[in-house]
Amino acid sequence: MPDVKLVNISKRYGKGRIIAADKVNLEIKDGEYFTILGPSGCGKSTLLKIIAGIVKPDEGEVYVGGKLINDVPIEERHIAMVFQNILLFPHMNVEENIGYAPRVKGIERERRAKIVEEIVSMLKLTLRSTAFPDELSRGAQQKVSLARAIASETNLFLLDEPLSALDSRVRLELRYELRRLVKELGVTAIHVTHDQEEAMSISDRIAIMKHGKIIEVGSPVELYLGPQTIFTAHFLGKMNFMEGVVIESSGGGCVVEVSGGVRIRTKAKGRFARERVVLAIRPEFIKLSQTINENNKNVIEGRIIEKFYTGSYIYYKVKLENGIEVLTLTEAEKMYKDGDKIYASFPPEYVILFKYPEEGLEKELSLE
Amino acid sequence: MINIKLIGVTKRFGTITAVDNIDLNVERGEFFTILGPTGAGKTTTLKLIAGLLKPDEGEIYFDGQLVNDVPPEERDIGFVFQGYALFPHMTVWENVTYGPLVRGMDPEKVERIGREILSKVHLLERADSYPHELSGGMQQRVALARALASGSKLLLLDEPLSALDARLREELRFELRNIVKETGATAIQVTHDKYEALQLSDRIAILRKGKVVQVDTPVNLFTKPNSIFVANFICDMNFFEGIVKKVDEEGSIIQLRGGLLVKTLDRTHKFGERVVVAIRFEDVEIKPEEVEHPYSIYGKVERISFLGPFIRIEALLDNGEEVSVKLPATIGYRFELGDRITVNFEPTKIIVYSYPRAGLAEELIVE
Repeated sequence: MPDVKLVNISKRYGKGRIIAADKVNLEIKDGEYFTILGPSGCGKSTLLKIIAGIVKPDEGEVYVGGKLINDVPIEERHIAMVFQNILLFPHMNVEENIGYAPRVKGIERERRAKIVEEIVSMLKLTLRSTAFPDELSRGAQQKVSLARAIASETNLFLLDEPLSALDSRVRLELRYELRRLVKELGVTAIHVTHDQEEAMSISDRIAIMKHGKIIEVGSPVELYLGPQTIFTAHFLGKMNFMEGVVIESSGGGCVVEVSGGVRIRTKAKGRFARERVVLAIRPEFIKLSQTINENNKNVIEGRIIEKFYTGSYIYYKVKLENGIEVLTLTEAEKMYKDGDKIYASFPPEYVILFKYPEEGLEKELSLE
Repeated sequence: MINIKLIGVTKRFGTITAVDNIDLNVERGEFFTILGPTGAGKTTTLKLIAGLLKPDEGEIYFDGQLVNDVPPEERDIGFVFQGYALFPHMTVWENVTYGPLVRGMDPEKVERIGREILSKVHLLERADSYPHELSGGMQQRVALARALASGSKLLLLDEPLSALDARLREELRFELRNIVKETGATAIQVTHDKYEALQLSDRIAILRKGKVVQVDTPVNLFTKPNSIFVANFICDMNFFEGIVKKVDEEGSIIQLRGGLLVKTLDRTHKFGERVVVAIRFEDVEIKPEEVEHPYSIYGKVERISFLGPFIRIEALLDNGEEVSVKLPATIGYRFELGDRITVNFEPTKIIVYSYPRAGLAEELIVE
């Protein structure tokens, strides 16, 4: 039932100087776990508030379940919200907090207790239901506020950075919990975050947002492996970029000349003329070896200049012979030292091409 | 550069012992990280070093000199503390260049350092803004820039990147170590983010309930965690309870719940002993079909999460326990929800711990 549709939504603040939403069109399907991802100040929270009815759009329409709700007040929208700042009633214990919505609805005591009990077991809340919020850890508090949202029996969940204030370990655990719950309940969830890994790991689809505009919408895998814009490629995961010029273009791909006359063959299909482009490749797709391997394509010599240990995998920064620095991700079993000579290979199937942006690459990559 | 030594340092707040008889030795020029869950005593330790708190017991030495009674302003420290404010009436530029100017540094050099550091934290364009005009993340970057520019021999960084967007945090994480190393200062960072700790540090101290549980290099901590708590905190680790069924020259065989057998190289535990078998998510091998083998364990894919370079798979084993697996995404694509799989725990990748007295669940609490 609760599919959500935004049509041409615009919202300005500060006498029109700040554009928080700029003709936004979005369609969120019933039962979908949908995430709006973008840097701070991109307008993602404003969109959520417009759906909730906390903020009124200057232009455009909001539909929930096919019904125009622009003029429906917040309390009649039947939406559950969970915020980064955990807003539990401090004077109520866990049980009372969770049972609040059912109580307000006039559900009698026995059935209320049953609802609370069900939710507590569903959330695997292993805490005393008589505990007060300030006796709980932050992770447990956020679980309770989630439980409270569930108890309100609405079909649309709006989650505004629900995990951002938590410890990184707790955040990871709750991430999976969130998705599991939403899917189990069959509700629609719209989640706003600036954390790309969070977005990729829990969402059915993600909308990438910048400066009040939706840049791209797609499944995590689609956006990660086949980004249509430089900004998406940059914001979602790590990406190496190089400027270059297409010197050969055919149905099977093109050859791009980058700095220092180095040529890189790609499988990116022929919509490129002999033009200026931006070439992109993810760190995990660059292969490093200390000897030349005949099977490797697009091999460029370089040196290890820095390493960042992350456990089983290591990020190496490699300075290529043409002066360009690239970041690579390799298993920690092969450990290189700073200064080691290395051959970096760029498999053509993983090289992505973009048209050179009008305002230059740097501007395109800026997060603010 | 300066050497920092803590000997038997204890700090209590009422009935709570926040820091419990800690010994630490931070070398000159070292990038040292204190890592632990919320409430472990990390920030208190940092405040004791800064002089913002006084220890109830123990001594703190800077380069061999006892500083217990030296006030913070005389300790020559560059800080980034959460909630430690910028000068509100000064612009970003004035905040950042204040330290070096007060030290009487040559104005031309101050100019150069100011520009360099502000551009590294991506704030050169905001040099003329006042703190209240900036977002929380920007303010934190100014505080970081101010500390880095201060010329202090000791930098104390309390979650220096915590207020930043995830994307920018990652970017700065790659640069922070270099910037700090260039200043030549000794740096002590506090964080609860293991990646921040692993990537930036020369050495890491893991704190738990006010006590130091392990101090080591990132590689040693990651490959040889000395306890279940450390393993769980620093690695993505699966834990299974088991009983040693056989010990010989090659290692041991451990029986898990449901009679599953696991071969290990461990010989430090005795026959019949209750143990915990640990294996990292990325070390679990899985195949998308049932393969017969004496130590094969079968299961079903329950959940798949895409993490970009990696895919995380959670599977329900036939003995009712869950296992998490982290695979390069290019391999992980082969698996689908509901797939029957074979799981293999490579003996060389298994760590065996004695069963903890307080129980396994207690050791895994991170909050």
